[in-house]
Amino acid sequence: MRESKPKIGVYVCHCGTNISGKVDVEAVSEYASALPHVAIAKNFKFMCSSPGQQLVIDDIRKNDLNRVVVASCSPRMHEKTFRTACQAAGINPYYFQMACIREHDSWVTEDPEAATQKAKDLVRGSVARVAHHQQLTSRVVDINPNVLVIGGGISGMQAALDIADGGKKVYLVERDPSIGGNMSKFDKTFPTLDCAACISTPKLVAVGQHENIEMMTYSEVADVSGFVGNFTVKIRKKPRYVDADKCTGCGVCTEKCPSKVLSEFDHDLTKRKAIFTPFPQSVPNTPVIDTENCLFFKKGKCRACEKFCEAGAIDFEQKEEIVEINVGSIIIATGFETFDPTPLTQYGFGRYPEVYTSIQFERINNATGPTSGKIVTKDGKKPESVAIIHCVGSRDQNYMKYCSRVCCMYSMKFAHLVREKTGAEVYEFYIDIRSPGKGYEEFYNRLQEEGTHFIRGKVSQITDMVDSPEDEGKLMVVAEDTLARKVRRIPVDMVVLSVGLKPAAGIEDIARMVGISVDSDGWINELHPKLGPLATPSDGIFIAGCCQGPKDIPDSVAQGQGAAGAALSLISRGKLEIEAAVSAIDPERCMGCRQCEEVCVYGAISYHPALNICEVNEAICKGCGNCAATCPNKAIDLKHFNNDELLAEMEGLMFGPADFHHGTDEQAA
Amino acid sequence: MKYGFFPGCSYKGAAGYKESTEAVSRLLGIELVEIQDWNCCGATSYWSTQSIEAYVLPARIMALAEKQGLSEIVNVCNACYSTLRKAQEKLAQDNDLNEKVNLALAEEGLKYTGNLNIRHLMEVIVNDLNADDIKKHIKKDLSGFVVAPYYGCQLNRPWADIDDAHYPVLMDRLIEMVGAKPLKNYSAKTECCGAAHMVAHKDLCMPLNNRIVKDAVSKSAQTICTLCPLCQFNVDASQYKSGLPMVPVIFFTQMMGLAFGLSEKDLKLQKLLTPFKLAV
Ligand SMILES: Cc1cc2nc3c(=O)[nH]c(=O)nc-3n(C[C@H](O)[C@H](O)[C@H](O)COP(=O)(O)OP(=O)(O)OC[C@H]3O[C@@H](n4cnc5c(N)ncnc54)[C@H](O)[C@@H]3O)c2cc1C
Ligand code: SF4
Ligand code: SF4
Repeated sequence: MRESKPKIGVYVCHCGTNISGKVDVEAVSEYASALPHVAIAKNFKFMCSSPGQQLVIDDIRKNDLNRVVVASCSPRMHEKTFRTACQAAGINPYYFQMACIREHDSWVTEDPEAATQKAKDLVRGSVARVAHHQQLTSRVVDINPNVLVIGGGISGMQAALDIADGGKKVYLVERDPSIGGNMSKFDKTFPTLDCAACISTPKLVAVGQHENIEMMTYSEVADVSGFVGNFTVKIRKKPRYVDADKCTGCGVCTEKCPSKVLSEFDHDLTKRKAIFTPFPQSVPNTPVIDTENCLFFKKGKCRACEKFCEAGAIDFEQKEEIVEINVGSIIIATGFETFDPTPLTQYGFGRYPEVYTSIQFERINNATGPTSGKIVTKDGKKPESVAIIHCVGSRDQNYMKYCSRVCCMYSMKFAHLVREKTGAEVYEFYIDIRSPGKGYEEFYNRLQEEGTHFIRGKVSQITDMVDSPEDEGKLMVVAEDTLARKVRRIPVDMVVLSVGLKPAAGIEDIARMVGISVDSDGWINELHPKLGPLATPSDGIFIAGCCQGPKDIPDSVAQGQGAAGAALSLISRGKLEIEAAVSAIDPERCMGCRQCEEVCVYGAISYHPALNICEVNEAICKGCGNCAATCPNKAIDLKHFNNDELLAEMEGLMFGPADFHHGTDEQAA
Repeated sequence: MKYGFFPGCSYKGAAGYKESTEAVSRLLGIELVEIQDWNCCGATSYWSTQSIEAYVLPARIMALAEKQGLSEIVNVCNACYSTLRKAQEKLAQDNDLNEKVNLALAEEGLKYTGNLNIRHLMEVIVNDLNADDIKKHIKKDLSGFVVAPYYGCQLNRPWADIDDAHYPVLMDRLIEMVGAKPLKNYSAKTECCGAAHMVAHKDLCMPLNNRIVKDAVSKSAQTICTLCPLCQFNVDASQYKSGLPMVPVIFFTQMMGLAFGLSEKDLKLQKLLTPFKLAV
């Protein structure tokens, strides 16, 4: 719907000398003034400045302009600025068009004459297009103030607490039986060496007790639908076979259970029971029965836990439940898992009992771990020497190309703990030491002073082949010492593999459900690496912690808080304006072939079987146009990018005014 | 089953390799068709010069095989195996080199296209035959015979495609198939024996061989089983007058022959420097 004949104002920006240094702006505005429907054409030093915007507003008001073209930078920079100016002056913001003569022209064209010509062409295209623009209005929807946090590690817990403290409801979904994540496994944390449990256990308790947090442990997200402000999420609650309301957490069941299996939490260093809580401070402390190893589930008899549970909490009849919740935003904080070094056969993990992964070594150091915090070999001896191998799986073309960021630091933490607890010689084999962070380089210096041996070289082999009799029973660590320029074979009693971090299994499923992507290494892609680190291309979906890439606890916590802030800011807006440049399906023309549904990467199209047509959910549509291009029946129009507008722009770009074929006058009338 | 066969220079002289390979192949129904007029592959020594001749040597062997209509070349030496594969890979990547090499080959009317599979006999036996077709020939119970599988450093590197690069298991499987016990934690599996450097740098190579032997002896292996004439010779000869505990070093084909009931004499086991006597 257009009111009157187009009356266009054209404004050519100098952008200081960014544009005017190459483009003859004077000539461009003069040229523009002669184009069809152009009433006014001017040039100005900085169009985005207040006087620049005021110029547009005043001209619209004084001269009854109803269309505006600004030739300046990219629309990504300032389209919004000028749309707002148009609106302020009383015309529909979609009656505006931007010609990009900086990024697409002055910055990339060498010859000033060619640059000026190109600017004229671009302006001509925009003028031709804007005449065809239609009025569009954006819709406003309510934002549901509830938030879903996926993953209960330190970043997810922090995000949940901040939002809950802000008075909003949080659903915290954790797939393990307890919240806490990887940090719960540690003893000390670098670089301050403060006790991990002392700083994380209070968080676990706070999350468990917060009235605004609904914790759903041993649960997974099964489905996400809807859009920013209005998501519907299905949560699959796995059966614990223990009634959480009745259970007192006394632990008798675990004690009496006869079935033992390797403990995931202790990374196979100890055994747990078939009915268990992962660790003593688990939140909640309601146990779960692992049906794969429960004798009753396997063989039909036992029920020892049931017999001994005084509270009568054991319930073998529990079934999986699907719970549906409504939230306005989602924070993903699924964290990481450690790299399994078994494929690096040269390091003999799994073959030599004294080769450990770093996460196992965390457990060994932990007071509740397999050795109650004592550093001893499997046969109970205090080690005389320990080797720590950096970059296992990381910075390796065969496995993970990237640096896992925390391994140098936690390796040095280990060196300190070994020296402190056993006095053993420690050899750190490294490629480069990466210690950027507050107090981190100082920690490295401290370790050197403590007498840790740093050997720069990638370890080629760990072997039990010793050359001299006194080394019998030890492991030899073979590496080229690239500073001393010789091959070293160092006998040690224990080896720690500082394995890298990789995305938590199942991250692709979560990403797919919320319509975002992961990078080639599997980490979630943030909206912008610098300016949008916690947002994603899907509105209302935020990320925090290691699901975006390896990072330490301070960064994970900061991101948790940042994501909480972003979610709260969204909530406090209360309402949300939805972009008007979305696609629309003409129900008269749609024949229900569903091809558009297939090509829409945002899941914005749904099919109505009863009517045999497809429909666009405007709140989800990003206006990419895939559907419009695909529809075989031309039933889909992408607003603000319809055929009329695009063809007019193309013709404008390619032909001079005399050749205008698109019948602007008749149609505009 | 019929395969093209490249014996290599050391095969005939190696202690019973030829005799045992022929005997075992006959039993298994593997027909090894020798490439006519083959030459030395150049091994690691020539290869390291990276001269055009270093490519022509292996390329000529492969061109001869192509001329004979063979599509696969089976090797019995790790150096031959890896030299042919390396040459094949290099010639596929470098057109210029390929042209030069073919120019040289053209003088003999030969042409190298590279359309060949390069393989090692041990891998052929494990991968192409059914376990049952091997097991049915077993005549002797070797269940108490602990065998250290020594692969050497060249079989799986750099490709690591037929097996793991550092801790291969193909020969372990073969040892198990014929009823013997592979030494499970043999760490020296892929240590280098020094190859031809044993001649010029004996002082550097002896410790390498000592490790290979010692790891087998200390873990109670009764024999070391090899796949390559040079490996066998180095590991065997290094023990001579070393004063250290000794262990016989045999070829995998000899081990198979023993299981198949062939006599120690047929398998020429008396040719080993470290005396072999089966005591199971
Ligand atoms: C050996 C080692 C030592 C370290 N030492 C230190 C140190 O001393 N100091 C320091 O600052 N940093 C250290 N780090 C780094 C530290 O572990 C991380 O910064 C931190 O744990 C990241 O927290 P997170 O919440 O992002 O992830 P995580 O701790 O991995 O938590 C993620 C949570 O999400 C859950 N989850 C995953 N997928 C799903 C799903 N699909 N649905 C529901 N829940 C899911 C997981 O079960 C887990 O509970 C160390 C790392 C390692 C490997
Ligand atoms: S289920 Fe029963 S026995 Fe087990 S912890 Fe709970 S109350 Fe105790
Ligand atoms: S324009 Fe893009 S996002 Fe919108 S419905 Fe079509 S394909 Fe989906």
